[in-house]
Amino acid sequence: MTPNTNEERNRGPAGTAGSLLQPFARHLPILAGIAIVSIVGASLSPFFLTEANLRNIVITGSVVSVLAVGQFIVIVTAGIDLSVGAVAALATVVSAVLMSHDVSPLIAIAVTLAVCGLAGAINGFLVIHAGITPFIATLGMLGIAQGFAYLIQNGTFIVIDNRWFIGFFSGETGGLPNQVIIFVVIMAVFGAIMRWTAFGRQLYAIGGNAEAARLSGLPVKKNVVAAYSISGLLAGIAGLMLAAQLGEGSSLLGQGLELDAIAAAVVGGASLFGGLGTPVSAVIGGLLIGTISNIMNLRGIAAEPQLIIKGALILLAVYLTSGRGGDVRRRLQGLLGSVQPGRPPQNGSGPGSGAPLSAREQVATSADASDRDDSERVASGSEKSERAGSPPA
Amino acid sequence: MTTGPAAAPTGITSGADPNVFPAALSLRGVSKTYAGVRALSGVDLDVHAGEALGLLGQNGAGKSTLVKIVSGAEPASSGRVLVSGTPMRFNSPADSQAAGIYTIYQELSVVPQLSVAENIYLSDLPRRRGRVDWKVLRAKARETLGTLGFDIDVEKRVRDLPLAQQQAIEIAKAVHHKSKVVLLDEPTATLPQRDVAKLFEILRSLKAAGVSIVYISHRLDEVYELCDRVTVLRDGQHIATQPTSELSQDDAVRLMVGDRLASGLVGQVATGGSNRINLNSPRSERAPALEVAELSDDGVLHNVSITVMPGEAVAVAGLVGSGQSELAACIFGSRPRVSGRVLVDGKDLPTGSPQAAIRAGVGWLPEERKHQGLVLNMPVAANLTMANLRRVASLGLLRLRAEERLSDELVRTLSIKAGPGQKVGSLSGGNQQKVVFGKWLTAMSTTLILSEPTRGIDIAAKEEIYREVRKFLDKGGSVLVISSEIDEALMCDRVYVIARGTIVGQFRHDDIERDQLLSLLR
Repeated sequence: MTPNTNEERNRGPAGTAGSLLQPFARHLPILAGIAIVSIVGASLSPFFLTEANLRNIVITGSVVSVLAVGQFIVIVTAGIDLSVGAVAALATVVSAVLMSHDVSPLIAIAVTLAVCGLAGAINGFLVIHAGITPFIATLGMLGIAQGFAYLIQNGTFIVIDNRWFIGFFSGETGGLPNQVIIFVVIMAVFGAIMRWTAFGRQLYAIGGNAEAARLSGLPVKKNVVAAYSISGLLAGIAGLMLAAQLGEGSSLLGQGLELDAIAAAVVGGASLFGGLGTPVSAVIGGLLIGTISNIMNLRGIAAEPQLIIKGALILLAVYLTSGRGGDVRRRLQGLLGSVQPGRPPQNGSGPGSGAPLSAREQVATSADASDRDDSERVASGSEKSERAGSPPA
Repeated sequence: MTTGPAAAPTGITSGADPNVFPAALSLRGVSKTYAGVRALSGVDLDVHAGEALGLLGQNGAGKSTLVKIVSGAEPASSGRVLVSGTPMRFNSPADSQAAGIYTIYQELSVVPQLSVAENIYLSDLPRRRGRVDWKVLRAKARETLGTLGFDIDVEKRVRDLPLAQQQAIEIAKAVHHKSKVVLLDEPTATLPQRDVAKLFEILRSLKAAGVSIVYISHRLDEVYELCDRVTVLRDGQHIATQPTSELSQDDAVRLMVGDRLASGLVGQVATGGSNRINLNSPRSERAPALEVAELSDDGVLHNVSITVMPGEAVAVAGLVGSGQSELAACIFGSRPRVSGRVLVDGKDLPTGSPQAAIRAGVGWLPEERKHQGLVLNMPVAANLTMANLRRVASLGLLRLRAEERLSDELVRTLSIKAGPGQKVGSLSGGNQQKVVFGKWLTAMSTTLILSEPTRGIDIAAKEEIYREVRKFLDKGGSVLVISSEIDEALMCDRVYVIARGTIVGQFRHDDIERDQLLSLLR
């Protein structure tokens, strides 16, 4: 009668860390989404799966990916940061102005990041000490940052011609675009922080139940201010990437990026009530949205209908990941469960080998495959062993 | 033991003859399975018109599952629910209500921002030419409340009313819906004693009017006071249904617990034997483990002074609303104090800092476990280590293996019935409380404040909690129990009595006059 079955026991250790980084199954909807989108993309355009296009998708998605990580860190505490787009714009202007006055790019970067980090810290202070709800506090900061950016630029945009700066944020290293390296590093670093540090664990606890966290002696105020500071800092980095990509600083850049970042985090399974999701899934969520945009661009769909389709797809994705779409999700997972036994032999002997896969099974198996890629990219041996140890469905 | 209509008439007070009229509510072979686990299997039950049936069982016995099915919150996996002999199919709580069943949960379903009158008639406000007819609404609401013997200003907002009156509004809703069966799930858990009597008065008048009542409570006394018959559930099965006049409370407990006979502290309390929770003698040579000196807060507490010596178990007994919960919060620093001092091992604690209290070695098992003690969507392990992550981290990096080992051990020693990876939200109340206990063991607290430590916890888990408290005392810890359960307070070495925010009496365990103590509570 007790829930203390062997299965629960086995799942135990995995859950210790696993339900924080969330076991694979919880990523299923979004991975399935990527698989579906990829299949659709490949069938709609022969150009979709080319290296150049895939490269294009990740480069285009890099700025939002960095913002999504920062946004996630705030959302996990049950907050929200509407100011990241404006803070990114401020970063483009501050760095451009400094460099136009012949300040060395390293110092320009440092000053810019300090300014953006401070903006984030002020957000955190407003939320936790002044008791202003995150939505309003960061909405105010949105206006303030945008206004400062406009005042500092004092006219139209400022051209950035520092070669080193442009090269650092938008060049290539060993054939890989620097933007992509930057966002992957940031994603990995914060993925690790959320999973393997006391700070990360405390953020989950604060978002899950702030009162219980406070009564357990957690430094709630300090951590929340830190979370908003990180979001500001990452908005600064995103701004620098944007400035280098476009070769200019302007108060008009970055508008609406905060909404893209929020959508990315939420599509990735974060809950606006806090305590759920991971930075990695937030980035994947953003890339999923970016891929959809890319496909629509390839098909030559005009910008306006694109907005409608994107909005609808975000709603669908969130319905499946964190909304009431639980039944559909479970059915999807059940489907995967029936495919899983055929998984161990890597040579693709699928279920009922010889029989052609149904379309749905194809979705499930490719979702499975993309998970494998994902975990190899970001996770450690321990996650793999935990997956290996999970009971067969 | 199982009730067919023929077996039932003994306990029925109304004139209805069950052989002629079908029962107001019947369950036939009702089962419910959650993800392969049977929560309820093949339960038969009859509630007759004008009868009060008590539903007894430990946590996990299937009581709440049964309530969910009857109230339409969840469908049964198999079996039938009949209302006045007609098989029903409830797809939602609205269906159940339409069939004449009204469920009152511990968490009331009133809209705090709306007026009393609006709440009672929420689903069908009286209208005139498309607009709400306020005059009629108020008059009707006043009348409904009047028949229940309540004089409440119907224009007041519900959130400004005391809990007892909010509950009366729920009952008024049931009356307005002309409900034939009213289910009450732990209605008195948060109710002050004097309001319980009032509630029972209302329920009795409902009974007299032919309404059937299904009453669920951990408090046996109440169930026996109100109910004509009791049904005992255990492990999802119907064990017995008997008239309260034929089944003694002791026997009822025995049926609830099953083979694991009531023993240990609870059993001793029940038999009036020696019931000391602390087997060691407190050490008086050192400074008090906890000293509260002339503490006052903003309005509730006045000059409260309490001392807990090292190794001592001290209780503060007080009814709900006497200031006992505020006292715990003030000592731990979760609620600011206006004057007075709190000293731990002779050292002053600053006001308003739980962090400082924890650092000084104080742990608090709060009354509201779910809201104040636990992060429900985190696993057991993460909750166990939450208050002292340093123990499983070096330089801010978590050592997940060490956390796993530590939590495995705690799960075993506290016999928490769950894996360390299971989310705390899915655990029963008793197991959740053990996790909170384990949290403070991880934090290596030396003094524990236990607020209502066994509220809403079944008897077996209760004993396990007491056993843990005993072990903690054996290891030299000190304990302050703050409870409205008098028997729980009586187990301690010394008992302070709190009433209206002031300490009104103090007893040593050996010379407690139970009657005198009870008289002080009021």
